[in-house]
Amino acid sequence: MATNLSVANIIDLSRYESWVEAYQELLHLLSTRRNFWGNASLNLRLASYDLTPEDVADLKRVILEFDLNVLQVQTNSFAALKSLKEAGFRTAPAPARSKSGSNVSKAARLQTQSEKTLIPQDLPPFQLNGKTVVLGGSESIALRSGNQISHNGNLVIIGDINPGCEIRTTGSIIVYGKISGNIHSGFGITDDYQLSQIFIKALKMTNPLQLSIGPYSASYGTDLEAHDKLRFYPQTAVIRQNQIWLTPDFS
Amino acid sequence: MPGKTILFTSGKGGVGKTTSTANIAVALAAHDPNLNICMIDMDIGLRNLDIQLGLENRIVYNLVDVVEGTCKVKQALVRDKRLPNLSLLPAAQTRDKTAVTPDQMVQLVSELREMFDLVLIDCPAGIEQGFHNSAAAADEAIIISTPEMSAVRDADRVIGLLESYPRKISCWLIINRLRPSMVKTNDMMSVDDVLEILGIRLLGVVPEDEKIIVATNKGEPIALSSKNGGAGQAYRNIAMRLTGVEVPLLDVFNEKQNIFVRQLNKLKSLIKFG
Repeated sequence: MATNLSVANIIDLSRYESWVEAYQELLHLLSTRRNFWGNASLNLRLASYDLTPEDVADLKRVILEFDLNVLQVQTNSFAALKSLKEAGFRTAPAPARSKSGSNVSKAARLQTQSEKTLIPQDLPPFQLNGKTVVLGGSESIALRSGNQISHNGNLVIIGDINPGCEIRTTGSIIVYGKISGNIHSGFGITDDYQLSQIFIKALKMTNPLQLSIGPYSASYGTDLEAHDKLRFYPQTAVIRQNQIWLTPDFS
Repeated sequence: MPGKTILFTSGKGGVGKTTSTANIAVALAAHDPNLNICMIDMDIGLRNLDIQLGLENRIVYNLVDVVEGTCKVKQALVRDKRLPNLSLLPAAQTRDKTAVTPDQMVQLVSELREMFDLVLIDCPAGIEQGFHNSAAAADEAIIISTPEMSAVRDADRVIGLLESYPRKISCWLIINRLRPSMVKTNDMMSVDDVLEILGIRLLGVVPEDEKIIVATNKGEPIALSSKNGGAGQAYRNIAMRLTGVEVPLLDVFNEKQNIFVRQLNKLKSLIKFG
């Protein structure tokens, strides 16, 4: 059940053909997920359109407004590279695009595949030796009311889990976002040692309907003994002494 | 060039889909007389849009008659008496949602797109046949939600369903019936709370307004009849945003504050008199 994952913080805007569209999408991403992005360090990937100094000034203003730490801006446009460098940005060439149109990245491909295979309504039979998959990736996703996900293994979700969403895995669950749905990790597992290895981590746990690990389940605000203030810090849910415990997690 | 189709939906009933459709349609039609707009009432069996527009006594044919070939589209369209560039295709009151299929709707809307610049579809509540009929031909969707947990969860479900359609339908959000005084006392979800859950683009915020009830009963949409401020102004602003004009969000909180300050000043003057 060991989890070994590195998630690159990339906002990928390369699928937008014009800067105006890419800029609108960036604004939308940042404004609707303000809490998710926080003051994150990230790379920005753009398509090969030319950026004028005014466009770069707009970009700089947005970065300042949302308090982001942009490590690198990736683009293949010579004019854009020049304008960005003049404005003090670190730049790099954007990776080539694959035949399917998405950027070449094994991890990214895995993410898209896993989204396709996980989100359908048919629930696959559970196996204990499942793999770790990532949902989300370069953009945070929202798992909405009515979505049902089941997976054999560990699951990493980059985005929010909204009320009414149901997630079941045989392994652990890490959520880079907010949980407010029904989460069940360690589904079908009864062995005490295996259960002690399973956890649910989230950046924010805001009133999830039900949090379950193996055969144990708890509802936020009733069974789980957590101070209200802890809601806004990263938390980990684990099994200790046949109970679900929530602890603050700053690792 | 064929027109654009916008769906007004919410999942939950009673949040203001029909009111929003009627008001945004009249605001758009009044703003630009060259813009030909058609509204389709998809709430077969429980039609209301005609009452909101004051057109209930002018209906001869309806949507089901068109789909079944009893009449032509032009015969069923009811032109608004105040705005000649605004038409309504009313729903049947004596049938139910299964009288129409998604394929028939796609065909009907493609015919209307050739005649109009904008087709606005008023979706019924729920996520059954009526919703799928309405969403089948939509290019964009405007999700209406009130700042209540039940409405927000239903809106979230509807957004998830629209996202699962093979055709990309971009979603916008209108937060309806917001009470600033309750938001201030933490008794109602704020705009940010709703946006944090739904995570889609905000088109506008409409404050709770008693005049809406009067306007609905009279069949005069508030976007036409009201002056500055309130729900009428909010709907007019939303219509402007749909045409691409950047309009700042209505400052409902300050508006209420002004009323409060006005009341306080009145009280002060009374005390002075006394």
